[in-house]
Amino acid sequence: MRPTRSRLNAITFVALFLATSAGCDTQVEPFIDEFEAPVHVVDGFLDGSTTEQRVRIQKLRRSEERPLPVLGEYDVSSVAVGDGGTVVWQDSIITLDDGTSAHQFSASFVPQPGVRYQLTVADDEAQTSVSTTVPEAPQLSTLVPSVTTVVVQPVALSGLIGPPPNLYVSYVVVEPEDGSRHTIDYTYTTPGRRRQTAWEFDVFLSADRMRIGSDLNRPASDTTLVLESVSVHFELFSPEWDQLDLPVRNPGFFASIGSFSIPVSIDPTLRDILRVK
Amino acid sequence: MIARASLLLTLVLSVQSVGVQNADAQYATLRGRVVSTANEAIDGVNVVLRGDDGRLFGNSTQDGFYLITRIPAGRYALSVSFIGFATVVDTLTLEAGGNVQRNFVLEEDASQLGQVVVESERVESRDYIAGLRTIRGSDLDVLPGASLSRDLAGYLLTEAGVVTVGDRGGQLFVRGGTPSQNIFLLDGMRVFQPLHLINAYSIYPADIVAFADVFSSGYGAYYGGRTGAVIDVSTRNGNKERTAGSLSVSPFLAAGHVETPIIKERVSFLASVRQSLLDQYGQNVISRNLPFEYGDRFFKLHGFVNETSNVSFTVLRSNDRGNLAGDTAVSREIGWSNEAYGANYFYLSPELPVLTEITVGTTRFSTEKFEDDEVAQSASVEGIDASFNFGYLLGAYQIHFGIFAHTTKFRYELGPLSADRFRESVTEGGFFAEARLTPATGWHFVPGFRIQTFPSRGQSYLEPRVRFSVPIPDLLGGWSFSGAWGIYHQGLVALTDDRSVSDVFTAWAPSAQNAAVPRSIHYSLGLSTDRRRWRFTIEAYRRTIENLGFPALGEPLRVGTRLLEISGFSRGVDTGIERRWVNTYVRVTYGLAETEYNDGQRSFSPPHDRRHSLSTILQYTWRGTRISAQWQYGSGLPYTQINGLFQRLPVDADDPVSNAAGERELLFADSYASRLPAYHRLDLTAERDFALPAGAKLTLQLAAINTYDRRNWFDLDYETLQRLNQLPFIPSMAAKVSFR
Repeated sequence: MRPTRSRLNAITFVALFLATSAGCDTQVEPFIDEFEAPVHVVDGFLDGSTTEQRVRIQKLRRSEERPLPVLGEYDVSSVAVGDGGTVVWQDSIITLDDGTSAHQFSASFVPQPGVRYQLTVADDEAQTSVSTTVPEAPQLSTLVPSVTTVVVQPVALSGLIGPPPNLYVSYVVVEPEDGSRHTIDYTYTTPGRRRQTAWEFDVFLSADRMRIGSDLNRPASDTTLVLESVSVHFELFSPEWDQLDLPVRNPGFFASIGSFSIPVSIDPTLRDILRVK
Repeated sequence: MIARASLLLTLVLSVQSVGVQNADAQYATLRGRVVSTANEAIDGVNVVLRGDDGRLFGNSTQDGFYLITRIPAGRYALSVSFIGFATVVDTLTLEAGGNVQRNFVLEEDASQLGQVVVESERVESRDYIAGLRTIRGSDLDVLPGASLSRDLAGYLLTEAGVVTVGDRGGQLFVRGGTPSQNIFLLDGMRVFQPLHLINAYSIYPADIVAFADVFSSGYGAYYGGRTGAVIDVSTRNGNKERTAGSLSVSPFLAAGHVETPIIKERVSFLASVRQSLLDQYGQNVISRNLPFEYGDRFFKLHGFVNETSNVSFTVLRSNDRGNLAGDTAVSREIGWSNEAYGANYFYLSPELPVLTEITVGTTRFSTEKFEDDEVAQSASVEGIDASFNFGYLLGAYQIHFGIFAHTTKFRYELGPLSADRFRESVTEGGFFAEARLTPATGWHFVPGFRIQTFPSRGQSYLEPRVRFSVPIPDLLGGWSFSGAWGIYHQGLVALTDDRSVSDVFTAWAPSAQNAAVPRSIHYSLGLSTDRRRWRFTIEAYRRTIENLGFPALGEPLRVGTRLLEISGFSRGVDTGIERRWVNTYVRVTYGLAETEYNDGQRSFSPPHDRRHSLSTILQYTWRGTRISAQWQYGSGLPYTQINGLFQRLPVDADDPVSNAAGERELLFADSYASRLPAYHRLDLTAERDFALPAGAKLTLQLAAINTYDRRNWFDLDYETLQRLNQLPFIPSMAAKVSFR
């Protein structure tokens, strides 16, 4: 069967129709019509080892504008959930390493272990809240010391399954001659071991005693140094830090660090062995 | 190595329309080979015996072998027919227990070319059964592509249910499945990335394609290891009578192919070499930046060992390199290459109704992603494959089974960290068995199962499958109703960034140990007919999706990339109609589809979820000039809008707030909740043949790609917020010289 003239006309019509459809708009809007919450980006963390807390605040932007715009004015406050204590944060504009500027907010307080802090950023258009709970202090148990050629005091931190960050042992000693008090810290990088629901590690009392004598230029046979206290210092990071390497849907980072100092009681019988009062 | 299902499926069958017989000794067997006058095997020839008690049928294989078993003793009229060849008619007397060998040489009949001849006796349409579409090399001639080196890929892109997300990237999505879920085979050899940078071209040039079995879904137990579709291409063996070949040149491809007898009538050699000229053409002729380079080389040596067996050796190499961002300042520089070597031995017992096929091969795929001309990420996968397949051809009831083994070595480096480097070898093996039952004319029932194991990883899967086709006698015109069902697992997974259509870097890896692997269940039901002077198919399908890994939005692709565990489905209806007159050919296909992923939190449409696809091809021959038009339409693809930009600051516990400016990042809105504008494009070609001395032929072509210069979206570059467009209007000319 041969194609008829009417069929060819139809084909021509279709071809013309298609050709005229070339001018259709094919624009695409990359940005959503309106921001979805959260619109503010908070970067920073509460640090239990310091009295000054700082965060950086950005607002989502909708352009590739350079230099980066310093967007808006914000009210920033934090609330200690539970006791209701509110702190208003102070704004300042800082200069970044690429020459642009940004909002930095600061507040003076020491975040308390076990307390949840909610930080709220508000401007004329929107409000964004983020929160973090400062880790609680673990219980420290003093275990039976080991006395051989060296003296080792094992201790256990309950609730930990690994070594705490920034662990060091702090000794406060008094020199009998002039009563001068020295605080001497030794960083412990020895990993320790996991014991059920606690992390156990050794305080090397005899080794540290030799280092203290050496640091204070006292003879090895000296037995007059007064050991006033021994304590274990470390930090604990809030769970948000575990998410640091996982790019999450929400931008920004708000977390906390608990800073702890827990005394270790030394068995009096060990003082003679350690040659301290 | 997976052998060719179609070869086995269509190898031979005999259908008895008379009573059931009791003992094989009462029957005769007829076998032989059908070749052209060029001594080239002809695939799919109808061999028909007409006797007093009914008719028996056989179809030749790709190598021209045919076999009809369980023939009652008696006198028969024999006819051997195939489109484009003069029918051979003869008479034959067969005795009980006889084993008769008859070879046939068919002569080309020009009067049959250019029209569809549908043999009423053709017992098994290879064209459309439950998601299977068989495409012959000659089908590719109607493609109006801007090159005279036709390509299977260009045809696949016009199939309903086949979606690409643009005109480049080499990614083929079939019925909601991703490219890494597809099985691509070339003469039984696994190929990991068969499409070239420009999607209309692939390692499957028409000059080498004998036929391609395309299972959109619901494939049988013969194939395994992937949850998507199968594209199984068998190549031609080459001319065993005289040297023939062609040379063609166009901006898209310069191509040459030659086929020649090495030992006349017994051994032939076929070679095809192609290389794109698009880059040079763009720069030097039309002043466009078209940074796409691709090419492929194919070599095949084929020989008949004797009257019932043959052996072939195949070599394939391909290369691709280019910037998928096209004519923009954005970098999407990518390159890949395929390399495969294979051998195939086919043996049909002269005494018993048993066939044996052994296939061995190696394959290698490597890919690199570039940044500032340096390799930023690289990956490769190498495989050694072997398969042994057997078939017992007991008349209308056949049993096929086989064993297979693959060793695959994976390597990738996704970044500078040691964790981003990966090397591992995995061995897999298994067994399949399939019954191919033809209880009556037009009835096909193919139950089967496959066991696929990964011994080194302690994983194994049992996959039952079934396919069927039955005639519908109440409908005029030889309609058939077909369906398929099957369970599929994917032991090898592709680490690829499915979030971005313009980032096609793919690292293959074994699935995670002791983790659930991607799994899919296919269902399909369809109606089809090709008994009249037109062909029509319609098929509904549904696939379940389980345990699919999908990279979380906004994370770079690396070893630690968080993968969302996806469940979901794809479903749709594919339909197509084809009609040919003396001077006119029309083909229209339409696919309605929906793919939905769910990550446990929410449901979303993945970036390849094209709901409506329409393809029309019109070819009209006017005073010897073939004028072709192809118009394609695709509804908009999903994309993700941006909620806003922000600076990601470095976090340091020792420095609560640094003065660092940070890195620019995006906060995405809901994933894939918006859609890009629709895609449509019109391609026009006009070509004419001129006779040259010594039987040679010159073909000239004028072509226009994207004739009305539609600015079709390819992707949104989130780095620069630039749009990436598909190919612009490209005028071109092509010429081809064929000799035989």
